[in-house]
Amino acid sequence: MSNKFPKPIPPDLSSFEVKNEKQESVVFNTFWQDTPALIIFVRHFGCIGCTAQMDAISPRINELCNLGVNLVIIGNGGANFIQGFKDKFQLNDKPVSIYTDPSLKSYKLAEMKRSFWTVFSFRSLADYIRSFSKGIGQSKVQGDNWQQGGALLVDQEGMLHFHFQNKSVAGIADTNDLIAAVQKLMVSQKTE
Amino acid sequence: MESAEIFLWAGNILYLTSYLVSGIFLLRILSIIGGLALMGYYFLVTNGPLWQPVIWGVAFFIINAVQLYLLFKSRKPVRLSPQEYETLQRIDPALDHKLYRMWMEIANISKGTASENIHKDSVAVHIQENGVNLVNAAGFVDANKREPKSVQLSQNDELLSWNIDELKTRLNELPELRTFWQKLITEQLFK
Repeated sequence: MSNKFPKPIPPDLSSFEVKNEKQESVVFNTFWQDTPALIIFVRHFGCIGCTAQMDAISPRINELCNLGVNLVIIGNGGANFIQGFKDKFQLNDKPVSIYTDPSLKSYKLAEMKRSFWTVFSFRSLADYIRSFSKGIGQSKVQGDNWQQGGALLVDQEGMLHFHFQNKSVAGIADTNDLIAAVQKLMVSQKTE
Repeated sequence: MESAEIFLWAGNILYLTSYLVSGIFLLRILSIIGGLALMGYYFLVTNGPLWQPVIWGVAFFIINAVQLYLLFKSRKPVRLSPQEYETLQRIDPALDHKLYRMWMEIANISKGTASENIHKDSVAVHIQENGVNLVNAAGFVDANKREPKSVQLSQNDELLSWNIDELKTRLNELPELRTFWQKLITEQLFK
């Protein structure tokens, strides 16, 4: 994807289906039907990157709700891992939806990185050390180990306003940058 | 035991102790003293002085001493003046004092009964009896929304204003302050 925003979401991604914990299919474009959607792709549900991402975003979930944004998390593990993920990060009563795409097609359509070197790079080694220093450990692999995550911000017209690719295991988007992008979008919509 | 060996034992016991403590401050102090003791050994040892380990010891001493000084400086508590403290209480008593000081040191402060003009490239916090209002917050978030504003201050009001670009630079240096500021904007614009 080019770096010029806003730009349309690829139609194949817009119509792609992911699964919820009950294995029910949900089409991507329903995420931004009524309100903008902040879609965060995580790695498999047990990794330090996912933990780092959720630890960063969890304190700001209510803020995102107040901003009027639909927060969606997409993983790539089995649907049976979703409830455990929700329990681990205390998300059961939070305004956030979690889905999974074990096929990784939505990751590819969203241009998220997947490679051996994104897991075994010096940057990822630094991520592991940093995570361990914060008491965050690696759990059992619950999905594809080579797939990295990222973030998208999409408005109600299906236009993309923010796109971030994680380049390493815990190389997540700065939460302040995510909030800034959301605030900018909501300010532009608020006065229209 | 050769007298130099006392320094060897003392140095290594101090290093061992430094590995057992959890605080970085004490760890560095013990490392410095341990290093000095080992330098004593290398200096006094038979067939010495062994200059190479002594030189490295001096290098480690300097690095540890500088780091210890920087740590000391960073931990120095910020003492707010009564006026600063009062303003902080009106904005958010939970805000860290160090962050508050760094936020305020680039602010322009106005008080008293007056009409203040806020430049389109500025953002302001208007502190009133009944709460806090942001002025030109939309302009801070989106450069296309910047516009000049006028604020009427009443007695006991305060107006804190910042150049938007300067404030953004400061916020980028301090992620926690940036988070605080974003939450303020969300509360003001979107609740």
